[in-house]
Amino acid sequence: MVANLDVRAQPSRGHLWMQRWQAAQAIQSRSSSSIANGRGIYLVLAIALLAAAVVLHNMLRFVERNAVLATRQPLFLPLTLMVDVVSIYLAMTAAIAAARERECGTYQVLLFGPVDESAFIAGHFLAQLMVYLGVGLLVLVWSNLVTWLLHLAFSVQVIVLLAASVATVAAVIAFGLFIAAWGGRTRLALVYFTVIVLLFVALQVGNDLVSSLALAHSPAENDPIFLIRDALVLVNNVVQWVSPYGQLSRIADDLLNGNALSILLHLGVTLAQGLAFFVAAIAILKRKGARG
Amino acid sequence: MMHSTSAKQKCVRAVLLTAIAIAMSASSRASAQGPERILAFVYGVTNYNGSVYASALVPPSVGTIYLLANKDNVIAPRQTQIYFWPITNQFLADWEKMNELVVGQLEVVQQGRLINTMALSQYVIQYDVNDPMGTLGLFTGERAKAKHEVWQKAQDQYRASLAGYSEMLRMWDEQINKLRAESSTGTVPPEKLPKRPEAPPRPTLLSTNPAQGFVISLAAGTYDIQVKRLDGSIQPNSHKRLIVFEPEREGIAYSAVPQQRWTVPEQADEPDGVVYALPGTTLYLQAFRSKRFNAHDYVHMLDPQDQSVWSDRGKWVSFEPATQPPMQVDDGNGSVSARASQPYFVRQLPGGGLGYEVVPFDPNTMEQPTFAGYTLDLNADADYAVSLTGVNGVPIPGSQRRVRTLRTDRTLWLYVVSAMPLALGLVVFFARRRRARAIKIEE
Repeated sequence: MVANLDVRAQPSRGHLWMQRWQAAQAIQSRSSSSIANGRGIYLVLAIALLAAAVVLHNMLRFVERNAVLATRQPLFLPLTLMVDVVSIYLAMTAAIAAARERECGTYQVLLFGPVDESAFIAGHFLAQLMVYLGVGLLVLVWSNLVTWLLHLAFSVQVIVLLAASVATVAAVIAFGLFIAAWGGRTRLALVYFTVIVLLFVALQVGNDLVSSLALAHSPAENDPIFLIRDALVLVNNVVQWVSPYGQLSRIADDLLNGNALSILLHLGVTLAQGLAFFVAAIAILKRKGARG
Repeated sequence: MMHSTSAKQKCVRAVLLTAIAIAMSASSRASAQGPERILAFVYGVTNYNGSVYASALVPPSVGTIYLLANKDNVIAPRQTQIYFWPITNQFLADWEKMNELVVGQLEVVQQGRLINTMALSQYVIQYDVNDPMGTLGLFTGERAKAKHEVWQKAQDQYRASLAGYSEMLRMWDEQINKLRAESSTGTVPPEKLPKRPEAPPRPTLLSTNPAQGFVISLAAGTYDIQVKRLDGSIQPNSHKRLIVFEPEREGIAYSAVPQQRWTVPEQADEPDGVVYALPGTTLYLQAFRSKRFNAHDYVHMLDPQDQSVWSDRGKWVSFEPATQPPMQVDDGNGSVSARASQPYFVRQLPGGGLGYEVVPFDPNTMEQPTFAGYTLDLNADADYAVSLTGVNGVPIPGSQRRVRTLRTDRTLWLYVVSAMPLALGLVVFFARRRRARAIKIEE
């Protein structure tokens, strides 16, 4: 099917996009089935759900000890944890797959065929996204099973959060592809990806830690770590807008507070982030050429 | 020679020790001097926090004052001595050393336009201890004077009654002694005992002393304020940003008290929150009228020097208990019942266990109830929808909650279900291997 397509030979713009879409679908189909037939995604999903189960178990223990617990949405934290773990895995897989194809020369061979930079990136992007849609369905089943099992209150908000998480995962996958295009070699792309993710996590943890330290000692205008805390809050406010996870966290809060406009705003920001990384990945690939 | 050297050494040692002792005593005297005082212009703010009045200090380092909208609040401009108190990381005022009112007018500016110029006015705050929230009032001008006079009169009357009571008590004591002296046995039979005088009731009205300040009540918004002195100049450091805010929402907060652990109640503030409990638990729900504020604004109103709260968070604040409205309980099976709030008494159990027992309040044997709440007995699969009923039988907005039991005995199944993707992965793996073998056979 792919062999009959020649993107460069078609002058019509509509036809060009159609061929590009078909080429992207071909790459997506091949990559999706490769991930679905591998062991990694099942293992990662199981780890993510077991981690989510630990969070829920913690809640059960609290109720056992204190007899009562008032909470708005006990599944939100486990679900965001699952989204974090699975999205990082999918983004890494996307980065490795794209970087390896460049490194091994497969990408160069593909460019002789009907595939261009856009179709290549779109194919890998869609492949991971399709896998996440499958994962999302499994998690939906899991959340309903857990709701029934533990006698939690059913909430439509859980389904909405899962739906919103597709945008988050899409943005993270696009980020992975951007890193692959930027880093060039597989190992370098992996290092870049890990360092940036760790930096974001460190900023978040550092902010939480310093905030809790300050709270322990009457934080005031003359707080001894006032400057550090303010600097971290400032950086974190930026990170909260830059990070797709920060956006998902805000969407979760807005869901609880019923703030539909804010949900749309943060969804829009997340999609814009994804689009920016996606376009940037294509642009870098075009600039660097087949051999990087 | 040796002896002389030793004597010299002893002498030197003694001088050194004396010098060290003087130095140490000097340093200890220095540390006992306390923090350095600085003369400063401050605002003393008396803010209404939704139920009572509280006071806060606004030192020069704080640029913004936060107040509740459409409520009387007081901003008093003062010269005082402030000092940094490292234990709480705050500037405090030494009111005893200096507390001078800065006479002038308060200019209130909004979007660059002067919208109000206020003069200082006298004010008092009063309330009755039997119903603090219902009787709380801030009175200004002549009314403040009259209210304070009423309070003063009640205090004078009480003091006079107390003096009379003391005299009557002394006379009663003398009468007893006289009767005892007349009795052959030295005791007085109960029927001959004179009636003991009764103490006068203590006045229940409490009042502040009259003070002066700018009594301010503004609509929600952002303003700028500054003090214009009598000579027309602006008081240095008096310019502040004034943020006046309203509650974001109102509702009913519940404090869920399990019978077996009444010392650790769980706060259920959010109307969409769910109260989870163990099956078989007897739960008491204490209801309070509550309001949700922007956490940053509310905390900064109470403590202008606080820097800890972020502006995108809400904070529910509970006020007076709501014990009057009946609670409607829907058990999820079509049965709806109404319950009244009941008073309960918490009794400490005797013995080393240091346990507690919650029992219905009996006015004949108990002094006063410990708490009042709506009782819910939770069976294994309880799923209650509760709400407080207002006038005309309509649920009070924000009073709805769900109360459910949690199946804590299914932890193992939780992990089994979570490991489900592993099983799916195995199925995919074996299916793929089977397909691969089939291809080999065909070849």
